[in-house]
Amino acid sequence: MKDKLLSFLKSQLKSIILIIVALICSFAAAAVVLLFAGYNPVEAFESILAGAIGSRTAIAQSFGKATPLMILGISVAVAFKGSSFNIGAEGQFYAGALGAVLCEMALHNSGLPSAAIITLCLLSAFLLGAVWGMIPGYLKASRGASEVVTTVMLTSVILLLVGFLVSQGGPIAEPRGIYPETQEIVESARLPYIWKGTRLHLGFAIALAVVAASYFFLEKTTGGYKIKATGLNPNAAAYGGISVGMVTISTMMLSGAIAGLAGGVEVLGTSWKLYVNLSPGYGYNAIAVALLGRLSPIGIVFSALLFGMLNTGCNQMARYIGIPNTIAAVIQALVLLFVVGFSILENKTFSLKLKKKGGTVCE
Amino acid sequence: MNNLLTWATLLPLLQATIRMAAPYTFAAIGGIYSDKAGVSSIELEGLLLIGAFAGFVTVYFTQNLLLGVLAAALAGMLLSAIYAYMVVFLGSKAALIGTAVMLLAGGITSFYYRSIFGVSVEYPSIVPFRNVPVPLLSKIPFIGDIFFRQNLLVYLGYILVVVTWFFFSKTALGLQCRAMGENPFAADTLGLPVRKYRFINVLVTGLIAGISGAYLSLAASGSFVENMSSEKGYAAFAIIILGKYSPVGAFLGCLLFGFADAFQLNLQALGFNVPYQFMLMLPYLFTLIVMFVSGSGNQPEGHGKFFRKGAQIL
Repeated sequence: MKDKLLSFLKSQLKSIILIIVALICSFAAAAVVLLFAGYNPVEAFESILAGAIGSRTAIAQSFGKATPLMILGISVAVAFKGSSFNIGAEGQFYAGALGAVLCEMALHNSGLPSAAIITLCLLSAFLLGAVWGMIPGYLKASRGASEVVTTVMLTSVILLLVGFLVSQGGPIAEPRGIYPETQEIVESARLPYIWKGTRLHLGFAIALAVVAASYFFLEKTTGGYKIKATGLNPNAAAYGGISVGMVTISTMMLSGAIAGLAGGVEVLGTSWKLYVNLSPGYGYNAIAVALLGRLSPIGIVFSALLFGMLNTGCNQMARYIGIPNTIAAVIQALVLLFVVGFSILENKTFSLKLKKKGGTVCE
Repeated sequence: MNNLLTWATLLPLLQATIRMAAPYTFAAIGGIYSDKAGVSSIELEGLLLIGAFAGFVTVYFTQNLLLGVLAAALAGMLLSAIYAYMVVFLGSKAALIGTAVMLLAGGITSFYYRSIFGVSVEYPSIVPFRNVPVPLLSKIPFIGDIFFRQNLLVYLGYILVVVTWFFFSKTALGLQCRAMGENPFAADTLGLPVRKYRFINVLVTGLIAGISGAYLSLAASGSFVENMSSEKGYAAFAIIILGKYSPVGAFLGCLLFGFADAFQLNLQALGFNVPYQFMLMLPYLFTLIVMFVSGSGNQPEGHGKFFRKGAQIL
């Protein structure tokens, strides 16, 4: 038992060291990018840090930004566990946001209690996200179509669809016809604030609940087991009696549903309305979040917080010292590259050991 | 509706088809070099974007279009080197690195674009490639008007299709590349340096896909817009599958996509009153349909299989 615990800690330590090294490399590379553009990296990073955690408001904002990232990170990780690569979380996020807004419009004057409206809206977000995730799942399971391409295309489609729906005078645009956005949602549909004096809302707690639920689902239920088995080795899973096609479809559905929930939470908690630039690329950031968290729920909490801070800090930096905030996107892409690169190297040391013993390496 | 089928409305549509097919052609033909050698070409999107940016910036500061194309090709190659290293040598998942490369290109281009030009309402622009009729060939009725009254890059695209076809079907080197796409282990037994060849093939992909990006900023528009590749790289990925991994098949697929784009642009001119968002949706829906119809196609046997010396698929 003690040995087990020790080896567990040891393996975790390796993971943590890898993450830290990857982060240091990413920021070093980002510093080079900043230098090339003629900016002072030290000044930039200081400004990012101050903007991210410099004050109570800043911290609340970082947590607020971490909320969708955390839920979306779980969405991407679930798909990943089932060996599906969902890079369309962005689109499913919008599908969910649309679902929440449509539900709210239907209940706008219903006078239902707040808890009921919120639950129904989030449910609607969850369902529409599931539909948007199911399509690439189906195309992959039945036709072998790459989910990378199909999810990307579906993201473009839903963005244009939302663009049409909320365009000035569009079907669900605000009635005055001035702005390309929906009407503000009714007060009882808004998520309550949970930190006095800041705008941090219940969505953060919902995100933590999603993390806990996903951990329980993946580790303790048959459904989660099927997803993981299919992800590790589809042939073995099929031999063991798992319908791989059905698991692929339901994995993508679940992943899409969770991403949709993130969209619903964003609308009910932060924006109170739907418009085209609701997400500054959360769905794409989430890929880096999931991988930096090494697909583990607890890891995703921390990496989402980190990226929440990064996004908030970069926005503040852009405002105060004029360095483009898209450096955040650069850093996130670099993190992705370094984490993936280093985790391969980590496995490589393992296979080298095998080789020394004279065995062949299984692919 | 009757005016749909007159030559006067059809000619611009077909000319636009060829024009719009060109960026797809470069991307898909470029991607074929990776795919044939057994490496997924899922990274095309990022290569297009970095090419578009590098090309635009170079021309903006030098006013030399050819230099811009060269810069775009180099930038594409540089970025594809990262992808190639991580996929071919480290054995990372192609989909993952492809996405990382796409995100990196998106971040880098918008960061430097804003650093150089600031965020303003008016786009800085350059004088794009002009149409140059080919002597003699442009005189051929119908065909000449459609195919040979285009800009230089379109002609370069035609040449690339032929060269690529020739390379993969008629040259020993091309066949060797295909061999390692079909069965890298057998190719290795023959003494072919599989990883080296794969690496070089991906670099070639980067070079050509970079030109595809240059087409967007230097021929199609004359300016750079953030994320201007607008999923054309992913569409090219689908086109390669649709064309069954053959250069000529891919070219036909590109014409189809070019037609969808041109049709979408001309629809409003022809008096259809559909909201523009639905028009813009067409190419994406079209790609989805293609993916539904052709699935993963008949890809090379060893496609996406990581190769390491001495390793065997058990």
